Amino acid sequence: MRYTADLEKLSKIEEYLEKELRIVNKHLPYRRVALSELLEQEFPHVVSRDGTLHYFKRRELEYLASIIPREEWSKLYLPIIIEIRPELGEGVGVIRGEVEVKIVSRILNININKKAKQLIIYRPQIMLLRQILPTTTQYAFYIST
Amino acid sequence: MSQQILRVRPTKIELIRLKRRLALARRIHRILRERLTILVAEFLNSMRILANSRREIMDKLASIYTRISLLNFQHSGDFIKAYIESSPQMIDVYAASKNIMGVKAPFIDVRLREEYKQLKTILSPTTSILLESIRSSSIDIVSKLLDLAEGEKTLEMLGKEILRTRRRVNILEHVVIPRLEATIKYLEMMFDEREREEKTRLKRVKEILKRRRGGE
Repeated sequence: MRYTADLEKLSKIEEYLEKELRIVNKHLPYRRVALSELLEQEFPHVVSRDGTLHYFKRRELEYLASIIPREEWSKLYLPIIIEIRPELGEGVGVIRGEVEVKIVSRILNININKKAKQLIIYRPQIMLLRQILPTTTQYAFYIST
Repeated sequence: MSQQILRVRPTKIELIRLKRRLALARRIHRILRERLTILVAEFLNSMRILANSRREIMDKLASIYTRISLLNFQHSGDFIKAYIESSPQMIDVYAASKNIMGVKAPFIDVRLREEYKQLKTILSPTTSILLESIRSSSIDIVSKLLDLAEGEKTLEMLGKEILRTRRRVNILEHVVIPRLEATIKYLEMMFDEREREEKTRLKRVKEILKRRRGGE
């Protein structure tokens, strides 16, 4: 009996914290939507995994549309995901996708290979990117197993 | 207190379980700490933007008040009132929500109406300029004020989330992980001690048996 009391308490705390791990990425959308599609909507939004709606600011969408050619509107899926990977170091984010990398590198003024499909950015750059695109970017936590 | 050892069964199975729990706790801690860092950075970033925005609004308000006083000199109250009443609604405000790492923050979108762009008045050119400048400035101020309101509410919600996450990180950092580490260390020491005891016992038994055989 004495042994189980402590363990029960500990497993309750762990259960609680494990739940945190499960909900840490609940804000991500079920499906990312192309910029071309969002521009046609009156209230551009995506549905998050927790069922809530995440709306985009029209001026951000218009800004994004202005910096990439029209034919790439359908290739840019929003929100742009900033993948946070603690194993790469504190405050390191990864951007994936050819068009996404192109846009982020242009906004942050980073020279990259034209065909690059992945871009690593650091905390000051992440903050700058979030300042420019607060609704069209989202964080995702990479949970290694 | 944090170094308190958990009362667990001193078995190897329990040691393995505790080691697994420690690995999980460290993983959760790493992710929550990263989340906390980002939340704090977002909070500070928003605060900086809001401070600038507030300053900008105050400057704009000071400027518009001067122009309104000038307008009051030029026209009667009735004229201004009639003008305001005849003006169509110029902006649409949409309120919804946005999600910042699980924090459901308000989202306010201000859109200019088509009527505003096509609006024509029958006032004299000089009056029109003054009125038009006041009107466009006031629209700008309203939209900035709404942005400020959205930002301040977001800031408040981020603050609450930071406190919540910090509590979890602290639980892991100061209670769960140290306790698990201390218990694992204690169990490992106990097993080592048992092993040494066993070895000594075997040696002793061997010696006794040897002595007995010699005596025979």
